Amino acid sequence: MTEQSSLFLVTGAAGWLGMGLTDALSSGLKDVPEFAAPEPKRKIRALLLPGERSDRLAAMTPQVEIVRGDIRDPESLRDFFRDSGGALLFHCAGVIHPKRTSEYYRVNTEGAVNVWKAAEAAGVRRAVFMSSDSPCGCNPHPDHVFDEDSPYSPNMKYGHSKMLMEQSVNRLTAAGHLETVLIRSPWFYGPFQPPRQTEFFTMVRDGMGPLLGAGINRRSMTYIGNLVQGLLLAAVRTQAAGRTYWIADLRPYRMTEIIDTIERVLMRDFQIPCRQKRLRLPSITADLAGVADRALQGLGLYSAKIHVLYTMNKTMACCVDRARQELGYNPTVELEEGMRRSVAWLMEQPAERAKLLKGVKV
Amino acid sequence: MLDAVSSALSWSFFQQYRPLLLNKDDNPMCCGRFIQSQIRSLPDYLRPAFTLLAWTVNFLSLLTERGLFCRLAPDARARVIARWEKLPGPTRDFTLFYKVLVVYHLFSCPDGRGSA
Amino acid sequence: MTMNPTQIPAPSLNPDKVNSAVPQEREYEIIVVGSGPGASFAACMLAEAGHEVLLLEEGLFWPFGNPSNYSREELQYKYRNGGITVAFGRPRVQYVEGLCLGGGSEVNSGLYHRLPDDIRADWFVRCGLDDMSTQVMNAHAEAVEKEISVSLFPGEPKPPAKRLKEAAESIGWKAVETPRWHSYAPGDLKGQRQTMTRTCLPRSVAAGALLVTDAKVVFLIRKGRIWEITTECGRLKGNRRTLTLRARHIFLGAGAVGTPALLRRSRLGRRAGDFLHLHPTIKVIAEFDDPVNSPDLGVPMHQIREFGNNITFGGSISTPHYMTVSMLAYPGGLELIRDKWTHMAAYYAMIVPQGRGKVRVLPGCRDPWVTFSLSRRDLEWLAFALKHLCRLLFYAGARRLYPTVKGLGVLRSVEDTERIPARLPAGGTELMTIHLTSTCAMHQDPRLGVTDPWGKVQGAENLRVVDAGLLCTAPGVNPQGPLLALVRRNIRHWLEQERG
Repeated sequence: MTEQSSLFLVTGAAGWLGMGLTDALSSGLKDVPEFAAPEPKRKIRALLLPGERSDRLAAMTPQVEIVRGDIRDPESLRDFFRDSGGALLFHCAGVIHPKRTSEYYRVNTEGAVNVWKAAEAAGVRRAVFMSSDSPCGCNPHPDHVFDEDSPYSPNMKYGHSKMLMEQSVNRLTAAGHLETVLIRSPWFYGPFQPPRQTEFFTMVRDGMGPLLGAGINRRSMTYIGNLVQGLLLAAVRTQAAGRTYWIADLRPYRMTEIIDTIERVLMRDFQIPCRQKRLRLPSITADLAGVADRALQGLGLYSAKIHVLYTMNKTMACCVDRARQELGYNPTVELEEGMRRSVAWLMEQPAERAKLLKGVKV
Repeated sequence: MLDAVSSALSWSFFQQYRPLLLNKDDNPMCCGRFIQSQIRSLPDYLRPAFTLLAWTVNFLSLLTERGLFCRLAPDARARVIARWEKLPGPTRDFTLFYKVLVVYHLFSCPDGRGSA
Repeated sequence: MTMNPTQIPAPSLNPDKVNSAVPQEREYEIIVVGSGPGASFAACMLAEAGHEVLLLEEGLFWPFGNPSNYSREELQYKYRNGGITVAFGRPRVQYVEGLCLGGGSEVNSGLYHRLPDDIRADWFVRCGLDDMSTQVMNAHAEAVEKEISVSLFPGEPKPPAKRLKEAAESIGWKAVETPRWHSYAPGDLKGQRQTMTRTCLPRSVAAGALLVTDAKVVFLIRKGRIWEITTECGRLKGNRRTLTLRARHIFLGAGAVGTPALLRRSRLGRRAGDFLHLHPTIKVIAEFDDPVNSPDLGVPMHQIREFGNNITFGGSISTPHYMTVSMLAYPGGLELIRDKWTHMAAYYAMIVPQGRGKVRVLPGCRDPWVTFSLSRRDLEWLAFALKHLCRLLFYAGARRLYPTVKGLGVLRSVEDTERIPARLPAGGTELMTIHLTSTCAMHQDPRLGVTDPWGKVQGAENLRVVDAGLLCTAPGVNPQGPLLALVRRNIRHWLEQERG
């Protein structure tokens, strides 16, 4: 498929995925032939919230045009969708750790519907909507993996809001004129990561890498470059229209392997001394956190720490065979290399570098 | 609970019997869904009994493997199942039920007929 | 017996149209509950006689062959409870029922028999069913055969059937080819199965009947001269709602389990479900030296009827996945199926038992509870039948036999059949059945039957039964043929009464 328009619309462009995607669109991604080389003619229109930090994005490439708007307010999207007939849209805006759970529905569900409607009205050629692993919830046992035919079993309110988003998009697409693709992706890692991810690395460094129970539960993770590859393929492959794909690294990793790998990368590749210990907690801690999380969310409140603790003994794993077969998706980066790139990027960010090296004698 | 235990049993039997077949195209997700669908369509008066057995199976492995059946690694689950298959009682019939369904599924795939 | 060798062009129903039809909450003249052979045949006769007919079917319309026959998807989508239904007792008897438009006619192997004359005589004398002389019943059977097209297989019998037939003939036993609800064009060996969705149902629609699928009747109550029928619609399609329909006449054809359950739930038909009869069947897998099985085998249509109606032998579904269920108990059984399934075939021995069962409804449960108890004599007959079937199979060239009796082990020679006990163990015998009958048996004495000699539910007006529950006893043959003859007899009687 050849590119018909050189305009790319990216919502949530200042976020982790949005930055990674913008970077690939401007400087090229060798894994996707259509985007292998940098293309100066490519225009990227980025949607940012009013007042959201734009300097890093603007510094990335002159091809990017920053437009302010809020997906919760359809009126505010007018500029973003102006003259965007034939463009490709990546809807990466979403909220995962809000203060109040009502935000989930306003942003993840209603926001996506607003974007869909505006995109259809503007004549966008295809829209790729970013979903999550949460609509499917947790796998029932550690060796289980989800595929695209797995039934919904949403995990808490975030998963529920994303499930409603998927259902709304599919319903609108069935009746409307916009081509859409849904991408589900689990836990990301890699450059442009937010500070909460650095915190996880420092916990591993300090011997506080949390292992609940035996740590044999598995997590699918997605290196940001692999995910961007999946998004770009979904945007350009003809047969992807109307489909849903899981995009993640080739295989899920055991929790123990994830922590071991981070520790190894910190020590061996960046000479950051680690305490080489684990914070071992009984599995039931996570189950209790789950009870607390559910109770809080029932009250409309949300605590990221409690939620993350709850997921620590869960398996959340998926199978990427459909994307490999239909899109030609080929995740080239695996955990260790991805973590290396992730830490390398952190070391280039002065604030994050300071956090990683805190207490370390250089 | 019943869904999780059903899935764990299906996957275990799938891994145990798939090597029998020459064609490996079938996947455990598809088999698990078939079994889930069969369990859901069971006569409703059997559901309480199945749910009770699922709880029993899940918690009994705390004694031998120090973990809920659904949270065990596949090799530990296989050990638990092997033990149940030897012990007479409702848990044996319960696991046998899944075994029959998995084998039925495996051999009903278009290429599940082996070499012929 | 008249045979109809010509291929009847199949009228067709549109699945989307049928599956999306919705009934109106108004009064109908006739509501037919169910769409199995009896119900469809009745609906067709009633509609063609000019009556207004609404037919309610609990399952969905799946055109024949989709999902393909004997496939796993067929089990999932066209059988009640995914094919997992059991009559409890010692031993348990596993049974299956179709749950789709056309009911059993869509999933069975379509073997056709007339009502055996000794059974007819028994019903005539013992149950007081008059107007049931040989001539009358033969006339009904001939009419049914003409309308649905019954044929013998025009080609050579398939290997498993051929072996059975030749072995039987070599020892002087009676082997007969059973005709099927099938029509064959000249030179066409595949033919076309005459299921209800290809015969009676399109004809009913042409005559003005309305078919509604995904509609389960849950309760009947008589209000004045009208029946109120509580119907749950849209459960399978996920938009469940309850409708109250009204009708002057109801014809119940929800199956030998479904009809008595509905009657009991509605507190009608005092003895509904009390006289369940069925044909307990035991299976044996035979392994031969050379190939007998193939992907398109289907069900062999020869039966050994040396022992009259009481004991029948025949060939069964022999796809690898069905055989695995019987072979799991044998060490190495699965490997054997993998490597040699083409050399293997499944056979059955079926008896008419003394035992009876019951259909009951449990409070708070949708699904009926079915029990069946076999007598000691039944277990002896099953042992006798199994032993003779195994001997016959050895004469037919089988090398090894794998019966579904626990602890018996593999049989390797005729001498090994002596190991079969005189009475099968109640604890370790796997039995199954596909013929359930007599739960709404016709009888002139209301204490000994559920319906009167014309199929009307005793003690209820304008409520009739048109499924295999009507049969006074299990007939020893596939009940569809005898049932349709009975339904024709009863409906004609009703039509004459209506005309005054």
